[in-house]
Amino acid sequence: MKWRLLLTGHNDATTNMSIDEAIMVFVGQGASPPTIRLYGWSPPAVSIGYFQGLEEEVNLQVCKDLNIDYIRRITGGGAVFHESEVTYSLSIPEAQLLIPHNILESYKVICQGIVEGLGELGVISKFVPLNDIIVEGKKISGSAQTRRNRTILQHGTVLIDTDVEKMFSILKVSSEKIKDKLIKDVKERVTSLKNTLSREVSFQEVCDALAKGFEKSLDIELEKGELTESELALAEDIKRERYETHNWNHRR
Amino acid sequence: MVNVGKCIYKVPNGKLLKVTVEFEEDTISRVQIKGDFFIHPEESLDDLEVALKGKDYTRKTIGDIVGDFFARSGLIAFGITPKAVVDAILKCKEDVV
Repeated sequence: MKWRLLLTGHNDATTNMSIDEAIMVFVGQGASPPTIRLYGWSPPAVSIGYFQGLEEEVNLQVCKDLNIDYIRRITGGGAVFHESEVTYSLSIPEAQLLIPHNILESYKVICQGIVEGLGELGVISKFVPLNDIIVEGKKISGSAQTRRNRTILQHGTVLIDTDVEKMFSILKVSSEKIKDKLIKDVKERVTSLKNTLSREVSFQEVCDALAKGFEKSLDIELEKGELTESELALAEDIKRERYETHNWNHRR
Repeated sequence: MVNVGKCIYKVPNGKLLKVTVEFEEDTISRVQIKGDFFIHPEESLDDLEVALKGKDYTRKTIGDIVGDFFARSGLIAFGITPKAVVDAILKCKEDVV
């Protein structure tokens, strides 16, 4: 089975999130084939889960000072600082047999593509429900999923490098007193490709590995494609009407 | 007088709930349930917050409304439970800011 592979490079937060959503709409209508997209964030960004409070989770002043985007996702889950990583998104109608209809099971099947992809880089990893992938007990990848109009959208990250101090300057913690301990905890619980492979790892090689990983695990053929004119136009509408609005980003 | 209660509640084996309740005497004026959990479909959580408006701030009333919400057909939740939501809402009464 042939799927589309989109390599959209690095974009700002509103562009990234509106593209994922536009792809989901067209895939859901059958107007675009099932799609895997690999991308990055420039400037760096913090995304928060659908149900999180923006000002509760993110230090907006620090974001402005450091030129870091902030955005609310349409998917649940936690706040993520996107800097040195590859982000993937996968979109496919629910009415097919490759990805289980059951959400819990579908995370496992989709995340297996990441596990295979990491294997291509020589990293042995394991899926841990609901949505984590771990290497030697430490998290290297997290994902989040939504279902709209009988279509699956799952997106997630694979960490290339981490800057925990920077992350904690952007994300608010409930108590400054325990901040040092939290930083230590995260350093103990989170890893990256650079950390586990003890070498520099490029965005491109991670993209190549993930594409191979999804092809293997899902038994599909990925064909490089482009966003259609209609998808780009819809993404612009979604960006303007949702992601660029105060109402959306500050709604909780 | 409107009181505002807030609480952070760790769901056992689940995610972190951050709940705010505005209330007047024993009546709820507004509830906000925030956190890093998953509810599908996502928009449905607004319905729960609306359903709690103007209701009695008691375990029985809140328990019934939250129970009905989680029992909706097609509703799927991860990292959040009806009990945690009820406990967190009630805990806000003790932690008035």
